[in-house]
Amino acid sequence: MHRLIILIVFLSLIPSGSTIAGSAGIGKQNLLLFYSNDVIGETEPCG
Amino acid sequence: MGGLSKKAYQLEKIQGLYEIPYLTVDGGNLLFKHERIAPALLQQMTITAEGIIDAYNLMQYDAVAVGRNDLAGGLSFLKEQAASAQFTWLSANLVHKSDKKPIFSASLIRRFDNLTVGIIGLTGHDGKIQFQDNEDAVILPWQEVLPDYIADLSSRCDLLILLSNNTTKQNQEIAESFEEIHLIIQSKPRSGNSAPKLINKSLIAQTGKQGKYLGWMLIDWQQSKTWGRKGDIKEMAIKKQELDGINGRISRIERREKKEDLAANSSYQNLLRSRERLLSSIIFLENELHDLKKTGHAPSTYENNFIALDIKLPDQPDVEKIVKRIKKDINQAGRSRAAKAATSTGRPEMPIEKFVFAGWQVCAQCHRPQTAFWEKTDHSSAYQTLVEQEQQFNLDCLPCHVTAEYETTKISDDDSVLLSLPAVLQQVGCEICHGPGKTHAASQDPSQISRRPAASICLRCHTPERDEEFNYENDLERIACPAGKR
Repeated sequence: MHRLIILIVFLSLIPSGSTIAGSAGIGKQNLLLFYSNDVIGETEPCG
Repeated sequence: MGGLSKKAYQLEKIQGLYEIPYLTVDGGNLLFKHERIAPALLQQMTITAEGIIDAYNLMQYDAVAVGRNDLAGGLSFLKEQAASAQFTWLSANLVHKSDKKPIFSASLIRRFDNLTVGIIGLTGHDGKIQFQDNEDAVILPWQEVLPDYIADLSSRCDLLILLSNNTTKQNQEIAESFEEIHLIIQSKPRSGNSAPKLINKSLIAQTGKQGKYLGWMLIDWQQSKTWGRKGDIKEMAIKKQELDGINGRISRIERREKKEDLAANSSYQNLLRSRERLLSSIIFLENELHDLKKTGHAPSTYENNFIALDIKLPDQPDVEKIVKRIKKDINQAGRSRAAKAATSTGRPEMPIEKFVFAGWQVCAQCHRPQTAFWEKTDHSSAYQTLVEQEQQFNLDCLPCHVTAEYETTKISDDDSVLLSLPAVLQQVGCEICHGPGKTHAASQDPSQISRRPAASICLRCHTPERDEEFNYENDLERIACPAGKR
């Protein structure tokens, strides 16, 4: 019974698995980084 | 440029999802398409560049590296733009020739609650960019400047980011040389998305060309200041996914079966045992990582995403207004130049006699079925689409929407030709595919006209950048005029 309670508590704490390109975050993230480049590029919406 | 308002919308949306500090950076090549721009295009490119800076100010960018293309308007132009930018232009190696001090900022430090981030900028160096003597500027190789900046910043920052306009090979060399750099945001022009790749101790990442993507990373940066081994972290993610699956199956059985029958249900009991085993291993991994965190050895982790800034995505209204203003101003500038040219020549448009083209109406006199077919194609209304978008004086758009010699469409100093075309050349007419037809019209000699356009002719405009789906054989068949001499 004791073991079952631990299991239930643990289940509620674990975030769902995630599909990630690269690697998976496991803890609380502390930075959100946005990045870009080559903004103007080749294509302009001419028509 | 059209993706700016979509990028702004996504930035706001994602920032709203996570209540954590954020940093917005750009690897460079922000303002111009090429390292050199034709003088005729300078005015409208300047309008665009100024608008992009306004949009980046609104998006609250932190830092942008000086890319080689950003210097196309001249160093003094970029200095003027830097003065109106609310973000920092970074380049550690674009320096005054006289004292070797950076012309823009070499680096930037951002401090958050428990995290100090250092950012260094590098301009691509291959010795090709030549500055005027009075500009007192030179781009130094990274080897000459990076050691000092890295030594300084790595002692003051938890996380060190390099925005680099260098080639992939050079960036990999940098990563091999300096393990203090944790992340390299690359801005190699005309490259695709490149998901973070670990080289030595640095991740190297890049978003795709032409501003079509926004990259974002959720980072859990730990005291260890090293990226975690993929194996351990992936294993954890896989086990959690397995656990989700098992929990789902257990729930389904519990809903389906009576409670008193569950003890005798062997599938159910097997699933419970599997769940217990899985949980034990997850707890073991969690504990291991928890202990590592306590001792400051837990690996740092990240989650990377690319968002395609598709035309269907919503726009951020304020940035959308800027994009519309840029387009309006560009058209207005072209219109003024056309009016000026008309005043000086005394004619609103250049006479057809000045061209090697006869114009589609001359072709129509003999080739009626073909002309009737062409009139139903997008080629015949190509100029009209510019009129509808109010871009008919945009020199960047015009070359692919009219009948003009390709040499002319490359934009020379004399842009009055494109801005003052006679009405019979304001379409992608017959002679774009079949070649100039004046001689053929006079002689009616079939050998003086080309029947089938070479792929290279179509590809002048239907480039992969502009028309991803273009297929020469298929599209030629679709656009080909009906057979028959007349």
